[in-house]
Amino acid sequence: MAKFIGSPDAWTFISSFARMNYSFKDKYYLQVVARSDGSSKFGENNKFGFFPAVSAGWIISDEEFFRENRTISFLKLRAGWGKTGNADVPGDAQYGTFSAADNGITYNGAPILYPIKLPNPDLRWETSTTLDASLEMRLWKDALQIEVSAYRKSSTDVLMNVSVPASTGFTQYWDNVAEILNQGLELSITSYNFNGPFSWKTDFNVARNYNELVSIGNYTPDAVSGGTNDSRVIPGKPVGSFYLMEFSHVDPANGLPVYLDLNGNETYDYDNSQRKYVGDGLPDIIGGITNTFSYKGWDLTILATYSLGAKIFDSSGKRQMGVVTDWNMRAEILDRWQQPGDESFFPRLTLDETTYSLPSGFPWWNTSLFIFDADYLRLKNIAIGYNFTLKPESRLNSLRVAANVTNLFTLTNFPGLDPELVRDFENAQDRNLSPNVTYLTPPQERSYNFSISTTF
Amino acid sequence: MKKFAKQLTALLACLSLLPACNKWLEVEPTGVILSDEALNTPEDMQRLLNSCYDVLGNAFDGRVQNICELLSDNLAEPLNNLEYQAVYDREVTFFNTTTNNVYTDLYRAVYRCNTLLANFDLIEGLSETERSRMEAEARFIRALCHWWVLKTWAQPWGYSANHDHPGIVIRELPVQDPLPRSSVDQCYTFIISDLTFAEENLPASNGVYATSWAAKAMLAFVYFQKQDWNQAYTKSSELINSGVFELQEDNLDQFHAQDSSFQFEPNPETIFGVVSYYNLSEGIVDSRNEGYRDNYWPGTAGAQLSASEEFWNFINLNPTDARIDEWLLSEGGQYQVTRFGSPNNQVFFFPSPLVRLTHMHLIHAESICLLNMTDQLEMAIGDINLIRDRAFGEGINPVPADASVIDIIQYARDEFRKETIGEGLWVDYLRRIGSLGEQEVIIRGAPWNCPGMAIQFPNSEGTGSAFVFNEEGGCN
Repeated sequence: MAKFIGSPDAWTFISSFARMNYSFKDKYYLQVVARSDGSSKFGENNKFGFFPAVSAGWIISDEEFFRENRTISFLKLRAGWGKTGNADVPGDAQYGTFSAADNGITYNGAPILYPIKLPNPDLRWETSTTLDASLEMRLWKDALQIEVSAYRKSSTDVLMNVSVPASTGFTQYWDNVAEILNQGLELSITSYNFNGPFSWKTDFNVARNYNELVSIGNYTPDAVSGGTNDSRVIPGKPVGSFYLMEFSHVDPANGLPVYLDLNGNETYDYDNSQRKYVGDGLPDIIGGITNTFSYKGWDLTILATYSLGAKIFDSSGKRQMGVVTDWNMRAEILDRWQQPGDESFFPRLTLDETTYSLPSGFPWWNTSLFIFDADYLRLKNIAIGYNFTLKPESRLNSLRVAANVTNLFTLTNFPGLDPELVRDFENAQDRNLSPNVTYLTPPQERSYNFSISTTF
Repeated sequence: MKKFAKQLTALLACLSLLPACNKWLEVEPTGVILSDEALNTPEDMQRLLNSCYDVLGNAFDGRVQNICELLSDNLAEPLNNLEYQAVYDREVTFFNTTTNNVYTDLYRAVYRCNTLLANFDLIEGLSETERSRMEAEARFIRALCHWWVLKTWAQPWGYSANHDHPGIVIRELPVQDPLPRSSVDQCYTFIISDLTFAEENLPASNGVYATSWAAKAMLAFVYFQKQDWNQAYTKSSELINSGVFELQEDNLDQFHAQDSSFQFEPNPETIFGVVSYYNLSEGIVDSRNEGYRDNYWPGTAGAQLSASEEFWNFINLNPTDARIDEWLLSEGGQYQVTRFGSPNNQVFFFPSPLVRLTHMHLIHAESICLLNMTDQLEMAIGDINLIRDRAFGEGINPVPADASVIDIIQYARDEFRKETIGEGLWVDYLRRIGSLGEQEVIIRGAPWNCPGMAIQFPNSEGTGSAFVFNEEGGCN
């Protein structure tokens, strides 16, 4: 068979998939999945990955010993284990490539041909192993539904576009770099508070995820670039942790910033070699609550979301509230040191970065001064509608009038524009490596919608 | 349950057959040339070699030289370029994209050279002569790039007693493995080895490309910085006596501008450099001097880079020096360096010489003195007077015939400083003089060997190895 030919990002993928379901007495369930995937993106000996999965369920409430229980109407226990693969790299990632012969570049009028990308023939599947379990329960004739689940996902050979030493003459190439752990708990509760002409339903969910970069092999935190220069991959910490020099306080005597070195000692000296983990953007918990009301033709839905425990690094703030340059300053800088004895949030104003002990020509200081709490409670959406009752002879089948507001208000102490960041990097690695880093990131807009809908 | 188990076994067996479909996964991307299919003919190799020069043209268009010149006392504070400011202040961090990009470019040329050197066996129809020439050119470029990285990113020869302090990464294979820094001594050995091979195998004439003379001139520089005066004397003597290169009495235009029809020939004293190219009929307009033009040509606020007041006063010790009017202009509170083309005449297409006969004469003169060859002091004085005659007029301001060895050395160094303004070479002299210990060398208030005089490496060098970074700052 001839080789397939395609664009630089062309690739082929073949997969074989088998799934077996087994149930016994409609109470015991077993599912076995076996799949083998092959991708042209990997080298000769690494094209195929085998990704099995097995899960089992037990409807406890169908057991004889549970039938008399009048509180719990449904109870199910489920557990699973499985492997999945990821091949999300460019189609030609494994290949070293040269420029086209007719690239149009010359030196002294003579044509040139040159290598443009490093090869990595050892590139292989990124593999995630997931172990999860859940308990699903319905109480009081399904008036209350509760689901609790837990998971642990371990990803190995994580594919990243990693920095190579500049002395190779290149900047990056794709490699299987890291081991990442995600584990967490999720709880969702649905409550039918009232049923009848007036009904009220509440959906509540809360989730906690723990993320840790377990290993990055022989690479260093600076090896994996992405996002801004403020976040890194640090073994033992979440991906995209803030890697900065810790800020202590502003010295009231002279208005200079006081930093903390790696040993926690106060110093006036800013030093990039003293950067360390000073926090991350990962929230402790996130969730939402939705209340849905209906009465006759009316319905009202209110969705609120929240996040607790996250931090945001204000990467544009360091340009707008630090050394005075050609950037516009922000109003918060008014809380700056002006005379001996002042206790202020920001140090004295300066046009000279060396005043803050920053290296000459480096006014953008990477310190924890610009890390802020990002807790918030947001009224994400409120919608009200009315469904008209139509006469049988009406030409319309249905008629609904509705109004909807999104992002009506947010309760937060975050001083920036929006504590719920939507990263705007086009590149996925940039997004992943700078979670909760804001850089002139536009806030989510508030929108109002009014609609009339009908069917004929 | 038995049925389930049988079905499962059968399906797993099916899955195991999937690798038989391996052919479906053989996709070759188009629009690019795969590395193992790129080099087949002698023409391919020549094009790859051309690409090494292409990188030189990008790096030595003033960008490399500017960084080195900023470390010396020849330039004033940069106008407003923060990254140049960091170089000037000797506080370069690994976030400095200007220095990082230059560093990466120099090693990009090294990678291409190494790719060429590793693939000769793939090529059919390549004569031994051609192979030898290409290999020598590649090793010349590889040495040239390592040399400029070494003298900019590491402390100089003589910084430590045995020269075993950290040098730079030596790359002699086209691989991406992280490597540690070799010692300065090891780096010199590697560079000299490459240049010696180039000297022995390059043709004497090779157009604008590397020649045996170019390799010899580079060896003179390297040996001179290594304080091997014998070798520096020998190599520079051979060049001076070759008759191939010429110091023109009235030609101070080493960065030779094109004529009205955009044609130019390098100044006849040029031994090697990068060149611009202009040929409308071929559709090629290729100017390789942006690093100079973009920084020395004044904008509305002035020039990004200009001479220091100290340099201006130094060269004006004798106001009849023709180089003042030819190369400098006091305007708008700056001492602008005007030797790199001209914005007024729209002179965009000029070459950037890297080694010139002037350099050889001054290395030659100083080597004679440092070797204490008292019977050849007249020759050393003659070397310097060739330069001074050009600057002041023949016989108008010569070095006295009875000048002492120490005086001759000082004359040679003074002329070198004036002759190389903007070329990024004077800082090498300052380091060498400092490491000789003959006098205390203070560069703009900081000793020649303060930590920040060695530019910080890009942070990617720390990837996956016990790479030792330079200490940052410590000079001010």
